[in-house]
Amino acid sequence: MQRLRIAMPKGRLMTSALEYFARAGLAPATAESIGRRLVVDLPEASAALGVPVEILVVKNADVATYVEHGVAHFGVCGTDVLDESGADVLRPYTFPFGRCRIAIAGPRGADISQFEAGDTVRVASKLPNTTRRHFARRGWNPEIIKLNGSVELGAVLGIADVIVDLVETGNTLRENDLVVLEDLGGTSVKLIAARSLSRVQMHVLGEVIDRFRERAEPPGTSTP
Amino acid sequence: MTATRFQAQSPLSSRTRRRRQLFQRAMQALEQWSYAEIEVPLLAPYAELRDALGEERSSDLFRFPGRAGELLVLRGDITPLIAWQYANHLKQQALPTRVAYARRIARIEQEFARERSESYQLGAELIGRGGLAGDAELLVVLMDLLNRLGLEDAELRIGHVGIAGTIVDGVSNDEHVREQLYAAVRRRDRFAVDEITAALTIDDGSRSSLRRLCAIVPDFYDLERLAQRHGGAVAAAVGELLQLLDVLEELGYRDRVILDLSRRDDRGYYTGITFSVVAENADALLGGGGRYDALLGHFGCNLPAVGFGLNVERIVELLESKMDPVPEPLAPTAVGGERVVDALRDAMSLREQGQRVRVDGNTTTEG
Repeated sequence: MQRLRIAMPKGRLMTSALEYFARAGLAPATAESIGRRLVVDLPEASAALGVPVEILVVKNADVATYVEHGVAHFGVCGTDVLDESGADVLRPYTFPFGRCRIAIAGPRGADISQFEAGDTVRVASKLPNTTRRHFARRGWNPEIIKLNGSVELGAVLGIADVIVDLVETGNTLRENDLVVLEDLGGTSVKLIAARSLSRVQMHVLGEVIDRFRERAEPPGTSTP
Repeated sequence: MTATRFQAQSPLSSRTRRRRQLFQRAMQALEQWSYAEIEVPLLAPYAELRDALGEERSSDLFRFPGRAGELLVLRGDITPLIAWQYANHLKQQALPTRVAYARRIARIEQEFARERSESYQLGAELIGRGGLAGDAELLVVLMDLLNRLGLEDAELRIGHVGIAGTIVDGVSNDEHVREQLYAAVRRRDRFAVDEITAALTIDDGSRSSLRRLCAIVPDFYDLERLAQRHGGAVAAAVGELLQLLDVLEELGYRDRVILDLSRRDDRGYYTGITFSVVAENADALLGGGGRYDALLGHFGCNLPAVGFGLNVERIVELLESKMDPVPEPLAPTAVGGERVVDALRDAMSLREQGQRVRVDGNTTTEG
């Protein structure tokens, strides 16, 4: 069988994912051996699954692209990125780590109910498509300001009336005197897979998920 | 006369020749199954196709006003065009009618990081043969075609629109909820299914069925459970699928078939089995198709039909290393000179002798 490639997002998410893979017997116990390499063999996964497996270390936003285009067969990606991109991939497993909320936030005392349909609300976000879809459902047509990081500054400096951003603990919002005005739902981290997988590759995907369920999930949790 | 031999061959021309080679091989194979190649119109009146295409699919197609102000649609989804063409020009043919095509299409295909508007498609349609006989014939023809093209490892991912369609539609009257559920099932996302159904008042059996639709590698047990649980349209769809799988197994194709319970009618005209073509080394789906028993009815012909289409570029890409070497054309003799007339006269003379020529640009326009 062809070498199996798994696209991993650089950074904290990869560390959590590799720990999880390691618990399932699919990665080394520590991720230190990976260093700064971008293509890394996973002998543990190769032995467990019976096919050569390697990981591609890519930017978070590129994981879905690699998987959608079949360059990588599987990947690890957050639903915030997936929903924002609209990538057409399978999402067959939800990891128990990396969950956050997406929220509309703004200065303390702000009230989004003051805006009426037809008002031009200025919204800063690194998730412009998600933001647009949400506001469109309300009949609003906001001016969306795309920021790539430190979205909170958008509201602090007055570039925008409100922001739409991921909220994990709420600490960054509090420290910048911002509050959640509306919760837009949760995000989670998914094992994703290409739609063009063959029969054998689908079986391997099923085996990976079984290993996660049987070996990696913390006791007492049942991830669908 | 200035004449030199020219050896270089453009890789682009090589790709074009491979595509032509593939077209020829495919049409020969389909001809052997009595599928006659037909022309498919490049333009058609949108007003006549609107109902068959549906509003959502129409938005992917290029539409523009014709000379009289009427809206025309450019060849983008071939199946409705063939149905329209059949009703207008081919309905005198004996049934079943078997047609094949290999044409360039233009439609807006937008993925996350890729956008394109033109591609080459080849396919076949079997009109006037319903049920198992039609489905089985078409899939066997498709498998034979894939083998003859060198895709012996290609597989079919098969499902039936009556399974997921009926189950999801029965869960909620809210269209937004149904769309969310379809999306979750299509992504095999049980977690999302659970999140969505947590807010609904549905029984555990329905919830369990929705989760079953997300199976990565579904099996006969999954099919049987769904049929038992839901009966009616689901049981009928499962029955059709099982009969088809039995036939494919008897014919030696079972190992090249994957069940897919998440399939729905994503074209707006499928009514029965639907399938995709996948291959291990392919980075995208190679094609697909399905049964469309109501489409011809839009054009006044109530006939069952089933068909498939393959993406030619993806297949050429996949077969690049496996296809016969593209025959090298004879290296052209380059001719040139001061006067264009002389250069062309020399070229004509060489052509008379059967030689390949290329007129170089070092001529002047003086006659």
